Amino acid sequence: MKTHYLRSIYLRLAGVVMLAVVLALVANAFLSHRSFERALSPEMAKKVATVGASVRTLVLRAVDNGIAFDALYGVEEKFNEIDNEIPEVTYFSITNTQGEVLYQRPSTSAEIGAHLKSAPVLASLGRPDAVPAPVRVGKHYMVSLPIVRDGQALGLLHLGVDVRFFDDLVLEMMYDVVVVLLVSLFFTLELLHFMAGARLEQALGALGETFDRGAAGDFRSGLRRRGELAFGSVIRLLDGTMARVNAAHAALVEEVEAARRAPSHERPPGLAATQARLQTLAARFRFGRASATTSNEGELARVRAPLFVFILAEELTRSFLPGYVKELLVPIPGLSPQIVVGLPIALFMLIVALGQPYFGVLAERWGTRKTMLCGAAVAAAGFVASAMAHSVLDLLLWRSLCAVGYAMVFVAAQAYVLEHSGAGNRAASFSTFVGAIMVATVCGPSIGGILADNLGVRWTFTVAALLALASLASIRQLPDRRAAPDASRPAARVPKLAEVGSLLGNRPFMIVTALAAMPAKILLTGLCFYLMPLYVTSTGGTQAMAGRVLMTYGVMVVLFSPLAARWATTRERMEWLVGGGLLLSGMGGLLLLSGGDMLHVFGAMALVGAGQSLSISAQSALVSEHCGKAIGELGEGAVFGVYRLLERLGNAIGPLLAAALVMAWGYRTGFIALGGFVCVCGLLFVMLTRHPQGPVPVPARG
Amino acid sequence: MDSTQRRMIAVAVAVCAFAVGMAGLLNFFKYRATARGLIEQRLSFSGRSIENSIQSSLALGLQFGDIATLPAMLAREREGDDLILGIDIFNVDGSPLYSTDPARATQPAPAAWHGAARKAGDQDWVSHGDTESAVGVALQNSLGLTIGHIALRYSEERVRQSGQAVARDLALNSLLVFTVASLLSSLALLAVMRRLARDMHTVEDVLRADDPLRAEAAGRRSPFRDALTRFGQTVRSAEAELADARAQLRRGAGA
Repeated sequence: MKTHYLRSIYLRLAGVVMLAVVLALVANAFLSHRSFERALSPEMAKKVATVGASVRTLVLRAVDNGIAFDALYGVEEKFNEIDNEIPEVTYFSITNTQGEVLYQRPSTSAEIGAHLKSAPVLASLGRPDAVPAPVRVGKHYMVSLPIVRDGQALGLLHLGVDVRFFDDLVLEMMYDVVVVLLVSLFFTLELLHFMAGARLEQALGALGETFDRGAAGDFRSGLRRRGELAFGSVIRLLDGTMARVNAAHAALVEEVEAARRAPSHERPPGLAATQARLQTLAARFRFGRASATTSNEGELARVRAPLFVFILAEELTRSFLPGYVKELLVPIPGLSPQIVVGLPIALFMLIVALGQPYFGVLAERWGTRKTMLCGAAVAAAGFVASAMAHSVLDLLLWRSLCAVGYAMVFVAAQAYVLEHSGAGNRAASFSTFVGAIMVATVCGPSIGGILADNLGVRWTFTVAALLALASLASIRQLPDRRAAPDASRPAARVPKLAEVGSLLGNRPFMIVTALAAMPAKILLTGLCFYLMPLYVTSTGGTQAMAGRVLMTYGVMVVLFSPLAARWATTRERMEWLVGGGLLLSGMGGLLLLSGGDMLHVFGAMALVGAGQSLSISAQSALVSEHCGKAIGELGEGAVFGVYRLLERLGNAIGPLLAAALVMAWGYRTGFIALGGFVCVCGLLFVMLTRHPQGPVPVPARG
Repeated sequence: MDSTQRRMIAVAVAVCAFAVGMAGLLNFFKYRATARGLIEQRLSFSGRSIENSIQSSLALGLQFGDIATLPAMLAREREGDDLILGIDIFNVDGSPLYSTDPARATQPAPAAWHGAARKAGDQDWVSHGDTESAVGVALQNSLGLTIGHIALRYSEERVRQSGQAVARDLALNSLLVFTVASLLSSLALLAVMRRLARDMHTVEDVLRADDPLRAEAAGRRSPFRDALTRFGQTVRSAEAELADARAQLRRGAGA
């Protein structure tokens, strides 16, 4: 009841905000169209006048050479030449002093014909040096230039700019406006959740729980609620009703007690029966005082906002980072430029991979809030320094700072979720964590690309730094105290070398890790973060375009992940999801075999996104399914620690592998080769998991 | 207005501010890029007409550094367009050959121009500076070798000034749209919240109703109907049992 009702409220809230935003964007486009027309038409007229002046010079030169003004040769060809050079000029003509057309391209409409003969146009023959103002005639902005030789007017040159030039300006922004709309939708949902949703959810949760308690006959008093709830009066009324029943029971108990204490001859005859009924009532209902319990749900939800803002800061850089590195490229002996371009991404991923186990231990020692604060501050400094980088060499250092900050915040936020969730609601709690990251993945690259194109890359890094600083303010709101340790959860520790060695030789573990987890990550960083932005810009696309393409990936993951999670209910299904997902994402790379235009790149990203979302959620679940024996021997923490480490090493390998492929074959073939590699891994995975071994007993944790 | 409603309005305002602000920024960036493009295309066109004249002179066998009519032509071109601050011609090393500004005729081309020209090869180039920018056109000889560049300087200040006027215009538009959109979305959100409040009032009415039949009728309209029914039944059953037990005790006492 609660989830359904809450979702319907959420949909209505988000729906009305989005409707207002769509109307606002349409109104904005209309008003800006008018502003563009007003501000740009004089500039356009000046440009057209410059072009016209060159035609006029040619005409005058021909007349100087003795050719009659009405018998010039090659005028239409010259018009054609200008049309090719400046496509927005779509009408040309030369008229005599009466406004009669001598030369034209294409034909002159009646409306324009009337304009050419109008008195104001013919009067301009007397002002040969004036820059003419554009006049709107039908679907053209007309600019008329007098042709005057030695003080004698010969006629007028007319050029018409298609008004669609201004429509196109607004239409060209349509992609970006759609991106803004989509990002606004996700922002709306995030903000609704952050500012009111958690409160509503908590209140609806409390309402549902009160209803359930009452319906189950639990009338005990004493349940403590954290803070004032959104619709406290209803809950107080329910609590009051239950308290009334509880009080009636207490009064009856007292009355029975008083009757029991009375001398036996004064005791009412119905006492024994009433006592028996009280016992029956006690079996059916619960009265008295409940032990005080409080819920952690509110505190858990508070981590989502800072995490979202922080991850958004890093995601802003995705679409333009390879291009920025390329700009800052300096020769490094022994390394090709392609490898150097991939180095900052690879180093970032390597630091995150290797740092996470250590930062996990640090988060336990310092507390999650302090670790997150420290990580966000380090990353903010890294972003500021990246904005001021001189060459790729110092950029490597600054990106390393960002990586350290990212790893600290990521691990500490993960630990925060673990601290504030129990074994029963851990999966649901992690959806808070994953949800924040997913939404940031959708919003960040697209907005980052737009900002990089318009503000410049360095300013966009500054915006990222501001976001990281904003996340600091939000992290400070998190509780400083630490939740009670959960005995069911092993303490964070760095995997031992012996454990890594043992698992590297473990066939079931390596099938999931080396054939599924690592290739998926190699494809993500190699293809999405390295190859795609470089390919898009190398084919003349903008960084905003690269951002839109990456956004497609994010949207597909957001759409498909919940479906995949719902399908992954059995081991066999999980194996098919992982294998099928790998094949589908690999097909994304192979799609470029059929064409290399932007539509194919979008298609490739959509396939990669869909494939990754199918396979990723089932992968870690398969580790438990396939590695029961190893978990029994080494413990769940060690097996998952090594699995995560190797998976993230895949992140670091991706850009370097992609760079090597680009070196050998170029961008497009690099796409295809990476896709092919992942397809092969997917096929091998499917083949090797066709005959699964029987279930392996795992000792229960005490 | 309770705090949830205030928060909802804050959400509406924040989302509208983001969407309209981003759209406004995009509009301004689009205007700036288009206006600059128009200026640069115009100067580039002027530069190419100078190039044509130079090519004609070279075709007549004149040396590149020795075209006597060029200074006058450059002066004419500069006067013909009020945007042009000056026109400079320099060779591939950046050494000056001609300029409309006598003081610049002896100075090498700025490093930024030289760099931009080298990077562009035989294509047109642009170099943006804080106070002055330049649009350049490469000059090639009959063998296709680049022998120099024509740079047309224009004032950044003027471009900025016209940009500021449009920015004001766009900002006013955005502010107007933002205000209306925020108002509309806030009102719409409050309307949705009113539905939630109505649902809660129905629950309150049911809980406050003394008459079970009236309570049941009111509860039928509520989305919490089932929960309310179960709750009411249990409460009524418990209260009836308790009342019955008390009556039993008292009946006995009175007897």
